[in-house]
Amino acid sequence: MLKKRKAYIIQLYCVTRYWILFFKNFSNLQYKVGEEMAIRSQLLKGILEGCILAIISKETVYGYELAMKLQDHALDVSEGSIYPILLRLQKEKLIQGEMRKSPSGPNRKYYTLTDAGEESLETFRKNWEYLKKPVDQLLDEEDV
Amino acid sequence: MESLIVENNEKRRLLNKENKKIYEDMLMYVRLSYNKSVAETEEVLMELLDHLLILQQEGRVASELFGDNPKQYANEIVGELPQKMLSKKMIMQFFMGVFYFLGVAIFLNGLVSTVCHYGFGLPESNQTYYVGTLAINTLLSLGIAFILVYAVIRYICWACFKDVTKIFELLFTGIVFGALPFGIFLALFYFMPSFGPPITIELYWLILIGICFYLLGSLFKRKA
Repeated sequence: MLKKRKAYIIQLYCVTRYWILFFKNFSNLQYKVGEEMAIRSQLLKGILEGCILAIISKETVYGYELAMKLQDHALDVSEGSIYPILLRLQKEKLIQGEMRKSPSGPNRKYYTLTDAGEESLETFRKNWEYLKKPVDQLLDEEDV
Repeated sequence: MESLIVENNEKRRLLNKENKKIYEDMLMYVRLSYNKSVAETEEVLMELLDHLLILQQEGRVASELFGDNPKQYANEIVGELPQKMLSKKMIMQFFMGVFYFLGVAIFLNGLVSTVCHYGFGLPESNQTYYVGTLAINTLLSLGIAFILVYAVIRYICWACFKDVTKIFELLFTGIVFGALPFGIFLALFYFMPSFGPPITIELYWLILIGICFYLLGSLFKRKA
């Protein structure tokens, strides 16, 4: 009787432990996948920000125009993703939005670069130059 | 600001049925983020509307703009909107809300009691209030009213981008925002022990006091 009970307790212990381990690993896995995604989208967002600054530095644009310009440069991002970025750049005072009458009629919000924006673009350009060569070289080496 | 909202209302009519539904959910969701700057909120909403209208003209679908998960997109937008500054306007609006609420509550209380007395011959023509009880009950009622407003906002946010059936909506809102708070109000006034010095006033005075509170509320509204 006592033996049976002991065996039962051990079994219960093992099963519980198994499940705890399972959930731990599972949550770890989830965490890792999430983290990787976050890093990837962070990287993309940073680059996209730099590209948006570059376009705005060349000419004053409004939202839709900006999305089209990005697509013209074969930067295939979802069109909506520019609006959160535009909001952030405005908050950081890198760009400035102004509601103006457009040539075709309706009011549109046109964006221009601020001085801080110019600086930020310059930093992005430097960082990009600094990264581009070594990364390209590294990837080419892998091909060979 | 006002003109942007008017322009938005007019332009929205140009959207087709599907786009209108998704855009209006987006509009509601973003506008309900009450602690964000109103100017920036309206500007980004107008940009999104303009963009969506162009997509519609080109025969493309809304998901090209908002992605596959519009709620997540709306959260991204709200997350990047700048905070609203605590302004004089907001304080005035707070007092406006408080006085409107008290005004309507006192007015209805007075009206119903007066009608009961003169119309149906209920005995008392006056009511005794205890200052302590009155103060506590007023504060608690205001607290409940604010929680209620907050809960309604949360509910509408939750219901955005979802197909909520009418029956569920009716039952849920009826119970959570109707029966439940009403029950708590009743329980509050029924079970609260009497303390503090008593004041006795004629019932019809309540109507006048209610109107005074309401007028005070309007004053705050005009200042806001």
